[in-house]
Amino acid sequence: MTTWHAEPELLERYADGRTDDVLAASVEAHLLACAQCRGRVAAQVPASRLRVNWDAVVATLDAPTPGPLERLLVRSGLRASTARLLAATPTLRLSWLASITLALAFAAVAATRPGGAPLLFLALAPLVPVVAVAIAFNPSLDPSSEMVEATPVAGLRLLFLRTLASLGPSIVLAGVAGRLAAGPGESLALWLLPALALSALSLALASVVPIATAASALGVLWTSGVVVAEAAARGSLAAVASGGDVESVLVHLPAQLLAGAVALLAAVVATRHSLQPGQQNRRHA
Amino acid sequence: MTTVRFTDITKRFATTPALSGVTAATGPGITGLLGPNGAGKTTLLRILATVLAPDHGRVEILGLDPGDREERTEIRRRLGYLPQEAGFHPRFTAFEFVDYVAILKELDDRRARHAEVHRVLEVVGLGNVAGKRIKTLSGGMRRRLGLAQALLARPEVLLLDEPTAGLDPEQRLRFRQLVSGEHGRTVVLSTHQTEDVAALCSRVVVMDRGAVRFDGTPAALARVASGRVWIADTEASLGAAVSWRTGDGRVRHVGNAPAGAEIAAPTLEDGYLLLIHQNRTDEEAA
Amino acid sequence: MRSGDRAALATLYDRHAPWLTLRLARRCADRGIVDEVVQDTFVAVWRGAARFTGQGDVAAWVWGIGIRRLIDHFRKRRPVPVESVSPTRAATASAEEELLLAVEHGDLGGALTKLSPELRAVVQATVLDGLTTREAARLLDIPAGTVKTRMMRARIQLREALS
Repeated sequence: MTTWHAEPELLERYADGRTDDVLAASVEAHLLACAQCRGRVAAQVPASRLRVNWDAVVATLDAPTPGPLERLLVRSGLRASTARLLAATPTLRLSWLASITLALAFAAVAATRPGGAPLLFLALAPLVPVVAVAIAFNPSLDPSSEMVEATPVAGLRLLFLRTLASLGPSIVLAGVAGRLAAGPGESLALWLLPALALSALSLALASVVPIATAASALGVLWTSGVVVAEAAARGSLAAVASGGDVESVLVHLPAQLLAGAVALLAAVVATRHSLQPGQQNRRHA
Repeated sequence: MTTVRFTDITKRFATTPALSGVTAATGPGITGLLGPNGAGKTTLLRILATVLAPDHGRVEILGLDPGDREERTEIRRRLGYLPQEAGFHPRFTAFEFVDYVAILKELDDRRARHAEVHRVLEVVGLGNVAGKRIKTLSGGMRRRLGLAQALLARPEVLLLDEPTAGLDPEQRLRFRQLVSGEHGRTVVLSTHQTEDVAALCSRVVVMDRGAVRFDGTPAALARVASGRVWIADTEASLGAAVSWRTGDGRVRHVGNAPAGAEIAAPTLEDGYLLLIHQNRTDEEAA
Repeated sequence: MRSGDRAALATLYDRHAPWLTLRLARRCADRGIVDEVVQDTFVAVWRGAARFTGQGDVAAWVWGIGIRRLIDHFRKRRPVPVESVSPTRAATASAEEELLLAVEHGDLGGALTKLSPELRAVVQATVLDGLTTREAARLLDIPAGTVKTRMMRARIQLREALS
């Protein structure tokens, strides 16, 4: 385009901001057209600055691009780094969500079939969040746990985030299944409080035994409790097996109140006791 | 200046004692924890890394007490730790994993964090595989990936459990350059390779069966075998603690002199082998 | 430039990052922002590489991305006032400078020097930097209406100067 090239002295002045607007505009127009002068003006930018910026470009290209879930979390006001942590939580992985969806769908379908057993749903739904919590709290399920635990965020905050990450979707899914299984009115009351009570209890117990043991023991207790309660209400175990209405002991107010109280108590115990340093699996929490 | 101090540490797993009254202190520079498998090196490093609480004893890192929750968090901010069994989510990419740990190390600003992740990956020579999934990386690469996360945010105290395991000689050399490069940092690394200690450490602590058996300079460890190393042509030697045939066909004995042997200059390895052997015979005698 | 071809991006960066840095620096006094914009530009160049058809000039394409990223930055944060660049004009332009002006802009160069700084900034943003009225308003931190009226006045003055 041009046989003219900017003098080094002019490029230097331009780089230092010592040219007026019109002259600068001319230099810029010339640079846009002249590869040779673009090459020469490069000397005016410190190599270290160019290097740092290039490293940042490469870092951004290598960095994970946020998935739909992570973007949603950020848009709903969460800090980007917290959203990343949540999204990277193993309990938010698709396989886990798929398996609880399947289990709950199965229970819900069984409950809605004519002559089906709402019992199955009642027994299963409150346990799903317990399993979720157990997974979130079990360090051996995280292959990087040794490295993770030596970081400042490890401990209460990370456990809280992880529990939230696994409780959230499992409660939403159980809620949907609950509507299918028992109708809108009763479904929440039927499983939500027991679910919270059991989750908090398993956390509280985690100070004494590994959380997986606590969760399974509570699971067995809960399931047999539901069966016995139903049997007592209906008079015989045979009647339970043949299915029936959801008017079990659980719907009654006293039972619900009890579950709520247990949930509250266990939550207090869990936060005050089980997460103290050196207690949980003899590790620093 | 003392940055890491532990006094009379005891730790038991179920019924087996892992550490029985371990005491030492160290400061800036590289300290090697040398010992056979099962000596308690890993348990000690896990305690220093604040991952495990000791049953008894006092630990002090950078003047802070890991038993106190707030002080422990402060320690963790200034600490880098490479565990022996560094596991990874195989679906993470190398970058994603280090980025994840970086968030846990409170590097919240995205741009600065990404730059730091990029830096540590470059330092361990994994810059070109940053975007690859971890399951496609080789064992040596994964080892270096573990090292990369330990280097995040330039920790003042670096605890490395068997950092050179699974590295080829070239990578090992690179690791040595990397660790010895930064001054003023406290590095405690465990190994059962005496060459690592000889090449890197200004200080060596020998552990065996849950106790400290030696604490001093590598030269002093070699001197343990002073006057006890012999070169002979025969293998038969009742008095030798250890003996082995070397590359030139002759036999090196550490311990009492076999007949017709010539004395040789001791190495760090000689001192270490003699120490462990003496420890074993003392225990059996007791 | 195909994905995975980092070397090509590195070459592009080496050629275009320096002048882009300098040119952005004349429009934004905050060095940190300039650096971030340069970084973002090349990330966008990489991700949008498929969109560059090879027609037109690479430098102009890079500049188009860079200046718009800068404006995005101003939109996100509180606008950083644009440095009123070098009010002191060298007493007399050297013969070489005059020639450069003439070569790049013809008589326009001379006419531009006669404009007031406000009008000149608007001409620079819209004509020389290739921004829309709204983008220019964002860059200069003035209302879009002001950009329009100043552009109109500038046009009249330039026409007079060139006639």
